[in-house]
Order: sequence, then structure tokens, then C-alpha cells
Amino acid sequence: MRDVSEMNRRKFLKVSGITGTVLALGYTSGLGFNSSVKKYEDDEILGSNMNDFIFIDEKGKVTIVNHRPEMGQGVYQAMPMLIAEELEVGMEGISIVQTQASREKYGHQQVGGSSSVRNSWEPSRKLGAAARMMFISAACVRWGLNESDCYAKNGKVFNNKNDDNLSYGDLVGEASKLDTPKEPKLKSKKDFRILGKPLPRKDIPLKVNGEAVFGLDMEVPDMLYASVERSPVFLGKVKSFNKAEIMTISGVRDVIKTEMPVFSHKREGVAIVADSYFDALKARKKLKVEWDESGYNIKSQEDIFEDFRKAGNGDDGFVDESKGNFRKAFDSAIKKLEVEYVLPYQAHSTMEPMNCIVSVKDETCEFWGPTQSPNWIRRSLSQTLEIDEKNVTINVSFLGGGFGRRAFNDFPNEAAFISKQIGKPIKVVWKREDDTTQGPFRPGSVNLLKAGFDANNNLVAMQHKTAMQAMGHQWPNSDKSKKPSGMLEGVNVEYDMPNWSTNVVPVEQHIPVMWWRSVHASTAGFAHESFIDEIANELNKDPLKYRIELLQKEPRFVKVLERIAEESNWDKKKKTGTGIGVAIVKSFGSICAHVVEVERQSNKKLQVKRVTSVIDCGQTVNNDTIKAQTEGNIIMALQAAFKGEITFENGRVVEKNFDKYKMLRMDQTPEISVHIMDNEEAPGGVGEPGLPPLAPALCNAIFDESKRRIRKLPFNLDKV
Amino acid sequence: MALYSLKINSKEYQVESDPSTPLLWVIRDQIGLKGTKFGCGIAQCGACTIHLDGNPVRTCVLPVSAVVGKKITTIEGISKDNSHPVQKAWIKEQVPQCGYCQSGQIMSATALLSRNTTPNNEDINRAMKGNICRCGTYPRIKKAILTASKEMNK
Repeated sequence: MRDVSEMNRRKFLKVSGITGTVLALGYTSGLGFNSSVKKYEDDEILGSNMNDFIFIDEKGKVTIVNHRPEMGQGVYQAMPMLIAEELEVGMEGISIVQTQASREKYGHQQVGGSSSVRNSWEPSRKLGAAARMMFISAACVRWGLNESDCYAKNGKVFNNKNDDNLSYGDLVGEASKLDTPKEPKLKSKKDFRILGKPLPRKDIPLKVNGEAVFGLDMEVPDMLYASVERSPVFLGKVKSFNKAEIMTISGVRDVIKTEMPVFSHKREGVAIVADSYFDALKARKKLKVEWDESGYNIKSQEDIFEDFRKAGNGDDGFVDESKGNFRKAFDSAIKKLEVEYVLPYQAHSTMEPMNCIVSVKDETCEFWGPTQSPNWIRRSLSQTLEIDEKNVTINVSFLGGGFGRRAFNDFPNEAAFISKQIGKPIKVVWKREDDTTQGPFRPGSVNLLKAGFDANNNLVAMQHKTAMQAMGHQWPNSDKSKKPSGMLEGVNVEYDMPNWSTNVVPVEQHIPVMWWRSVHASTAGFAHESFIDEIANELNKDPLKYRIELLQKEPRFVKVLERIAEESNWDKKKKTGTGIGVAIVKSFGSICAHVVEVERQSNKKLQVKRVTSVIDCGQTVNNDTIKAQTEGNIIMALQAAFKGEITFENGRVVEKNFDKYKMLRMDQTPEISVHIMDNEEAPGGVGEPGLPPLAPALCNAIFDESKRRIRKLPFNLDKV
Repeated sequence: MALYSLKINSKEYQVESDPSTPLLWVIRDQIGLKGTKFGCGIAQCGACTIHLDGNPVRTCVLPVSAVVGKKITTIEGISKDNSHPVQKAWIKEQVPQCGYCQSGQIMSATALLSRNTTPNNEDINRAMKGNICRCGTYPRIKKAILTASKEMNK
């Protein structure tokens, strides 16, 4: 195997143009903020010593690493922006380098949970601030001035006494000899030059000309390709396959049984290993596998959801949160509203199908490809292969979408399994059909909503119970006697109601389930925000004003609702054939509200005309990215509301490709406007909060137009 | 197996291929131009779009034997330096998120604008609805097409 660290070194130098003396700052123990300054010679900068975040050389050239995988959410830009702001350099001249996996050097690197900005907000800014302070100190020593007389701007240090200035490049030698400050001083929001601004992303020019390298584009020397025919039911076993016949096909090198770890189980398959991907695909068409599906091929869609319904109606499950005494208040209520909301399984359908390259050789393993979890994959491969984590290298490409699917350790382990057997680097590429039908999926659910009213038509009791699979229960040794956490995220417990509870009833199925964009908020949010409208309707109240009434103790919620009422012109006179609906959901640390407007067309069909959004995500990094992410969330939510679903028949998924699992396309895209609240609160997430409120706002708008209440997704928009 | 002479982005390439090999895999794996992407394999998503004699086609279902003698343009051939009005508009409007579908989106958009420099909303929807974007960049794609159109009509 060629010397990878040598390759990384040269590539890094070339990418960064680093020359001469360098100020390099990083963390000695992950993101725990103990940075140590090192002075490097050219060829010492890299390879195993590359544990740093900022490199500044004698020419003042700044290189910042991005330690988090870029999947469209903009961390490639946002992570360096956090450092650049405090470092007092502009983004234009900066080089950005994507790092490998290294928990000890970079700390937490996983992307998901809308957490990158929230987690890196302070540590990354402290790093930039430390470097800035060191340059200022170095300049002060040279000038014989006090630190209070000096300040940094645009990669230079200035002072209040004269017109002199010193560039960071000039000061690198002296700065790199200083100790790092123990308490770096952070800028306040009013002094921000780049945080909060809609700066152009530095990865975008690479994405308009084919230059950006995704996992599927990567190649390593000596590599073979594999296409895997996996069991169509989750736990089918390989009984036999026509290996001899396949081996006669040109380009085929081997045909082997494979296993892929999926939570507590292994999904079996047969891999065709060939010289080219198309050779593998061609051969796979002739592959005949006999499967033992014993018992796993009987469940169908109706069975699965009947399981949820029966469990939900038979059991109160675990109480997630509660106030007062729902049972007592509900039982004595004069009027009761009891409804069921049902949501299906959904696939992630990233545009880039699952793929990766893994090379297992002797006691080392190297991975190239798109993953959201560089360190989990590193640990997982190390455990599976029983080799030292130090000898496992994870190279992260751009991800052609993630949405939670690429956080999982299944596909990397399968590729490692094949590589170990074959003894060569193996690139596994999933067909779209594999990708759509094999999961893991966003779990479907049955939500039972109850409200009780007294004789004066006041709401006195409310319950939201969800019956569905619990992700955490899929792991071996999971303690099923404990409440699975977070399963009612997306339910605003901030609504001031007497006597309410949220409950979860975990139900097992032989279907692998995983984080999907906005996770449980994507289902709980729909049921809850639709139900709030049903309650408002019972009480004859305007749904937006009713929400404000219930949220009097929550000023941030109220401000979002007041803003959205204004931006959407909520109180405007209603035209016939139109409907307007609102929903607000707090998830992943942010509050997002949508107002959706629908309009009946001359052909009698409903159209989703406009979405107005307001998001409160506290202090912001890149405002344009926030808008883009919210637009994207809306589009993904529309797809899940009325375009497609994953269904099961005889234990296998019915929808294989985009002909049956339909996506939203440009011709059904509404006008979208996103408004960002401006405040000094701590940053909240942005990658997911825009998804949950869309479906309920849409269905609330449809109710407004037609008095038809939709409680099951997906619905057929053309038939409403 | 047969020998094919392909004209891609004004360059000649000689490849040896099974006649039924989709052009997508010849372009990506044999010739090494990775900008054209694999998304679905059944011409439903548009990620594999190139221009064949100026017309947008899905290469995942187009056999290499069918393109002999025709002019092929891939995303790499749109310009040398991101200077095509569509690329400039894509950057100005900050269109891409993950970026995986964008080669196909740009190929469909440039084909549209080459035959109609002032497309209206319906023209754009019709030309672009074959290209899926899971990240949801459709509003920005539309805006960028209108921006490019304005630029091209200056």
C-alpha cells in the first residue's frame, strides 16, 4: 500500500500553499480547549502531527481545517467562519482543508442533530481569539506598547499611537514562540464582521463544474468494485447462489457471501466483485440467490400499522412529560376529542447512493467516502476487524446528501468485510433500488391524540401518545424497561395547558430505523400541530391567535408567531378557494414556524402556493445558509406530506426507485420566503428545525380551505 | 467488446467497451470524467444529464454504441473557469447545497437557455422537472436560471 501519510502531506502542502515559518494552533485533547502552539518546519507540519486547526505562514496565508463532514448544510464554510471572525481575517483569502477522523485531534466530528454550530460555537471562536491575541502580543512587544493600545483587523495588527501596522505574516515567528492565552477574549455580537452575514460558500464554485469530489467519485490504486445483492427481507439468509455461472462472466473476479451489521443483526447478501462497476452490475443481473426468508416475509403494511394501533390503544406506555393529571381530567371531561394520526416510513434517498471504498490490509484499514460519523466509523471498523484504532484511517469526501442515513456504520463494515476476504481495496456502490429498499428508514407511527373540554368549552386535558419503533431498542443489550428518550421531540410542551401528558409506546418490528431529517419531530410535530388546530377549531378560535394565547409565558415563541403573522399577512381578507394554515415547532434548539397558503386551481386541484417561514435560531453564522437549509427542509417535508412513502408487502419494501417512491420536483415547488429572528440568544440548530412544522401547516391550510382534516400522510393532493 | 471513438468536450477519446454499456459509466470510469453523476439508473433523476449534439440526454440509459459520431458535452465542458452565465448565476444565487445533483441541473438549464433565452415559469418547470434535488434547491435553481437569462440578454 502506498504511503498514505506521505500522500496526505504533499496534498496538504499543495492545497494550502504553506511555506516557511508557520503558526499552528490546535487542541491537545480534542475540543477540550487546551491548545498548544507548535513551530514546524515544512515537512513536519503534517501526517501524524496534523492535529491543528489554524495554520498561518510567513506570507500571512491562512489555512483553516474543517473537521466536520460537509453534506450540504454548509459546515465547510461555517466552521472556518467561526475561527475567522475571532482571528480577524476575511474568508476570501482562506484555504479550507477537510480533515480525516481523529477524536483526539478534532474532538467530536459527527454531523447530525443540527449540532455543528451549537457545539463548535465557543471552542472554535476561542481558537481564533487565541491566535489573534498572540499576534497582538507579538506586535506589542515589537512596538513596546500595551496590549490595550493595539487591535487586529484584516490579518494585521494596528495601534492607537501611530500609523504603523504589522501583518500576521510579519509576526508569525514571534507569535509562535508565545504561550497560548488561557482565557481568550471573544468578540461581542455588535463587533461581528462576518458572523451573521450571508457570505458566499467556498465549496460552491467546486459544485458547479464537476470538480467537487464525492465518495462515488473516489478511486484508489488496485481497487475492485463490488455490487451486493442483499436479502430483500431484513433477516433473510443466503441458502445458495450460482457462483460457478457468474465466475464465467468477463470482468468478474469473485462472488462471495457477505454480511452487513445492522444494529443487533447481520443483513446477508452476495457480493459480485469485478474489475469495473458496470461489469459487477451486469453480472448481478444473472445472479440467482436462494433465500431462506423463514418468517420474515409475512408482514405487510396493514399488519405493521395495526400492531402500532393495538399497542397504542392497549397501553399508556412510558410517560415522556406531563403536567397535572391527564387521566382524571379527561375521564371527567364533558366533551372529548379523540383522533388518530398516522405517518408512514420514509427513506432518506440522498441523491448520491450509499457507497464507500475500504481497504483492509494486514493490521491496517483505510476508508474513503461519504460518512457523517468519521469517529464512530473509525471505532466500529477497529472493533469489527480487531485492529488498533490508530491503524484505521478515515478519509471523508463531500457527501451527496446525508439526512442521517450516512451516520450509520452498516455500509462501511460491509465493505471492510469484502475487502478483508478479497485482499484488495473494494469500492461498494449501492444501486438506487438497494438504497431505497434496504433502509434504515424514518420510522412510521400511529399517534393517538386526545383532548377533553369542560362544560364551558375550556380545554381541561390533552394527551399525545405515539406508538412506533424505538431506535435505541435495536441495539444489543438495550434496556427495554427504560423509556426511550426524545421520541416526542417536536411536541411543544411549552403550550400552557392544564393536565397533559406525552407518552411513547415502543413497538418492535423487523425493520431497521434510523435518524431521518428532524427524527421524531418529523412525525410528532405533524400530529401535534394539526391537533392544536383541531382544538382551536373546537373553541372557535383563530389558530394563530390561539397559539399565542397558549404561549404567553414563552416570549420567544410569541415573537416568532407575531413576526410570521406580519410577514404572511395572516389577517388579510380571504379569497374564496384559498386556505391559510400555521404551525410552530421547537426542535434541535430552535423555533421554526411556517404559514402555508393553498389555492384551488381552475382545474379544481389544490396547489401549494406559498410558504412563509420564520426561524429563531439565536445567534447566526451564515444567514444565507439558514435560508437555504429552511427552503430545503420545506421541500423535503412537502415530499413526505403528499408525494411518497415506503410501504411493506410480505416483509419487503415495495417502492424501489424514483418511479414509485416519488420526489417533489420543481413544478410543485411553492414560493418560499424565510425570515430569521435577530437576537443574542445562544445558537440553535438549523439543519432540521424547518422540517417538522411544514406538514401540519399545510394540512391546517387545507382544512381552512375545504374543512377537510387530513390525519394520514402521505395524502393525494390532487384528490383533496 | 468494441472500439469506440468518442468526441467529448471537443476532445477525442478511444475506448473499448461492451456496446450496451451506458455512456454514464464509460464517461465516469473509463474516461475518468467524474462530474456526470449516477443517481438512479432509470432516467428518473437527471443526475447523469449531458448534451448530445446540444440536447440534454440521460446517460444512465444511453448505450455507448448509440453516440458514435455525435458531439458530447459534459459539465466539465461548459466552461474552463466557471465563466458560463449559468455557472456564474449558480454562484451568485448560491444554488448548490450538497451539490451532487447540480451537474445534471446545470446541463438541463444550459440546454434550456440555449434554445430559449427568455424562458417563463412554465418553460423552466417543464425543462427542469426531470432533475431531482433532495436538498431542495429548486427555488434557487429557478432564480439562477432567470438571472442567467437576464445576463444572456444584456
